[in-house]
Amino acid sequence: MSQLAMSMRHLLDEQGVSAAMLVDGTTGLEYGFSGDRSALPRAAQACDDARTVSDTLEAATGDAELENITVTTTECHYVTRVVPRERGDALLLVVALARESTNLALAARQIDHHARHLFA
Amino acid sequence: MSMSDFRSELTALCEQRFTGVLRIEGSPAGAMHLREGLIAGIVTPGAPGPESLLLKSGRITEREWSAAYAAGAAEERVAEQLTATAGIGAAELEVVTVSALYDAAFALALNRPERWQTEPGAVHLPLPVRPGVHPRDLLRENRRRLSELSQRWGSPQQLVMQRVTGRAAPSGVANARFRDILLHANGRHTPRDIAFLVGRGTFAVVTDIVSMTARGLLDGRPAPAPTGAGAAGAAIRTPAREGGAPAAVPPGPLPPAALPRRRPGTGRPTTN
Repeated sequence: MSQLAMSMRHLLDEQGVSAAMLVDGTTGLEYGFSGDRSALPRAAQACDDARTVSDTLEAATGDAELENITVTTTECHYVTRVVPRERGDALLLVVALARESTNLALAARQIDHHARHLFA
Repeated sequence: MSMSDFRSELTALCEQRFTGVLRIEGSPAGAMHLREGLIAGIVTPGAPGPESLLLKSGRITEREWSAAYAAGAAEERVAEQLTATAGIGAAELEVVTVSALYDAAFALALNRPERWQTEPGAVHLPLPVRPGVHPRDLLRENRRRLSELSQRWGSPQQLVMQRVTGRAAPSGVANARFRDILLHANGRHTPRDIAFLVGRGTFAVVTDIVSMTARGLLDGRPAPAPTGAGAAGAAIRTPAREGGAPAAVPPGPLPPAALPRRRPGTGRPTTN
């Protein structure tokens, strides 16, 4: 199993996580996926959504950079975390969490931790 | 030979668990390396390969690459050598090799292949994708990329061939990716040239060029925003001029270069 596949699988060990994927933030290419495929949108759609939010923020605030997006429905939280890289285009770590079994603040910290260590 | 014929050939090779090289004649040409029916790498002058991406982006040095290649190429263990000696992580290498493979496929898909032939037997690659990409996934991603560019711009083929001219000073642009492109947008380079120069994928550069054009940072003409519901973010904004008025959109694609061109034999440039 590749390093990325293992990292994505480890995310499923976190409380409430039903699916996770790693997406190229520019091209929308999916680099890794684990969990329930039906729990997340397509990689390209997630990339488009992040781009739209980023563009809106840029227009409103100038040069502020997107760090994460959290969307909450009656059933789930969807967290999109920008994964910084020393070189290369940013990636997006997109995670679906069951709302009833997730402490969102704690989950955000855990997702941040995974994002920081993906390329460490 | 049609693109449909080529897709059928690739699907058949996958079903046969073919190991070998699928050599493609066209513009650009390319070599698709298959292992047990999966694609381990694609080599084409149409897009930067993993080595180029690693070196041009500054992830590794020439010296580190040469040492890793000398030690690991014969057994396809260059990646292991790089992680051990060049300080680059396995996950980073995986992202670079997979993105390069899809990018090369995109470059090949821009034009209909003229001819192709298969050569059985594995050829060593410095940085193969393991176990490889299923042709179905590759073809689906190509369709998406071509469709996205068609929606956001128009002809992907024309977009990739056109020379890029900046309309803003790089120093005034906050986005580092846009700034890097502007540094090379001198009316002489195509998106492919810029991809090689900055060590990024051709499709990634093209995607940014579309966004930059919409912001008025580059010359060009994006396609009109599609009406009705579309993919979020697919419709790019009309660039706004100072004062909020929309920028005038020319009726057709701009000429490939706004800079004077030199005519052979005359020894002097001309604007025609």
